[in-house]
Amino acid sequence: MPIFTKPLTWLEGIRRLAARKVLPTTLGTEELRRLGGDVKRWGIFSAKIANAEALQEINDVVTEVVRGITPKDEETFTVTQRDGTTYEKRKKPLQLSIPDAKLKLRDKFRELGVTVENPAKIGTIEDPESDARLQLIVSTQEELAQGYGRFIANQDPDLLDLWPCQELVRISPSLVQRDWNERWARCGGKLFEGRMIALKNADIWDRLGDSNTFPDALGNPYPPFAFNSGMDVEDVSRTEAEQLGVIEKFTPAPQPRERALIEDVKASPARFDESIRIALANDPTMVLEDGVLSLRG
Amino acid sequence: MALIIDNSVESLTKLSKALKNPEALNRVTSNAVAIEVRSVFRGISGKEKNQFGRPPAFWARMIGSVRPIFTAKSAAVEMNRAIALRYFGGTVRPTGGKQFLTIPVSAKAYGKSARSFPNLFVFRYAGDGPNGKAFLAMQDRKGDGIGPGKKDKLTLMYLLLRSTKHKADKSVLPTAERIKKVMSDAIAEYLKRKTQ
Repeated sequence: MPIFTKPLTWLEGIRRLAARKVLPTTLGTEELRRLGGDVKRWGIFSAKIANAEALQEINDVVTEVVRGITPKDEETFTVTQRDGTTYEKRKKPLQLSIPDAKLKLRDKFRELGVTVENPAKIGTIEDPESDARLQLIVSTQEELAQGYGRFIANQDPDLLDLWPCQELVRISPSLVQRDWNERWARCGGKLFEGRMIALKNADIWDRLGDSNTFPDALGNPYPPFAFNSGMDVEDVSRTEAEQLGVIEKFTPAPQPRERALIEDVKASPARFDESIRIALANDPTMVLEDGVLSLRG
Repeated sequence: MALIIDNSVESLTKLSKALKNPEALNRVTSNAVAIEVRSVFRGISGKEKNQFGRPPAFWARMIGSVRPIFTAKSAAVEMNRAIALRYFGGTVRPTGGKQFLTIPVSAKAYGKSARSFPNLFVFRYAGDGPNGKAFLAMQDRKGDGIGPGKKDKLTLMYLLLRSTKHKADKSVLPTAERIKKVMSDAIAEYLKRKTQ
């Protein structure tokens, strides 16, 4: 498995390949954090997995988990009754569950030989086959996809006008003890009747996800903000925000935000396809061999 | 002949314009209901305990799945279909050619597929019910590895069931009255803002 020893070169490569959907890398979590937020956000986050096919499987599996079931997915069955007559029955297939998603990934990793290099790390978070690691991959990707989806959907002038603020809320307990009130204060946030509320375009959302400030942050200005955070945001209406004193009566609606590489994300469920091949063919510093992306030479 | 001077024409023009944009209205109402649905889910998430001592991820996932959907003709809220089972109740049967549902009964099994354990075997417990109960179990062999030893430990991992029945629980979603209220408030606020 190739080890990228030149993060800066790799980052340059990533920037040139911004149009692609997956980011194979052997960088560790700590090193990935040092990469630009956009790079990490739009990529498939899976530290120390450098196999492009494995990353594609992650992309496919997470897409299947996130996208839900649509009428197009319905299967048609022909049911024969006792009197010999038949009728057609439509049935929606089950959405891929998290346990099945993890299993699918594990099987793919085994098939591709994606495994931990150091036997002492088997079963640890560094082992791609470990449950903890698979859970981290699937849940983080799912949360990022959902968080991003809501972030984009919220950038509508009418929604921003009616719900100009948002509140940082806990949606599930976390095993990792983190004081989000302390983080909020550290980012310059104010409490309103004990609630962590700010305008949607306030800098605090970027700061909460800033990996330079918080080592576990993911770099995005929307939930989950950090690994296994259990945190989310919820819209706060103009009326409530005014009552709480977050904004004044004639505070204008926040301006819709634009994020870089937005079009890339919209296309992210697409297959690991020609885009990366074309990009790689044009990039003298990188090479894709047997599904493994590495720096040339 | 009376002369009527309408000094609110500007507001009426704005109102008329706002009402001519049903998609925007539907966007606002569906978003308002989505917020309400997430709020109910958060309330449940805060109370529900996980029997295995692990943080329950179910409701966080459900919150993440709530999405407002709208067109010029309709407003809706989409969510994970697992909510439908809770709300309407129903019977769950195995799919994909499987014969049994595997219900985790051990913390080790929670959140994992039975297939992720290579050495599970069927353990039948006859003492409970007319046909007994069947489990997928795991044996931790601590002895010499030949035959059952004194130190062998049996762990029941999954209960095998042909189906599970779930009662309807209408409290997992806001009531119809609450949804109507939320929608009408959102419409009123939208029109108020548009006519200011």
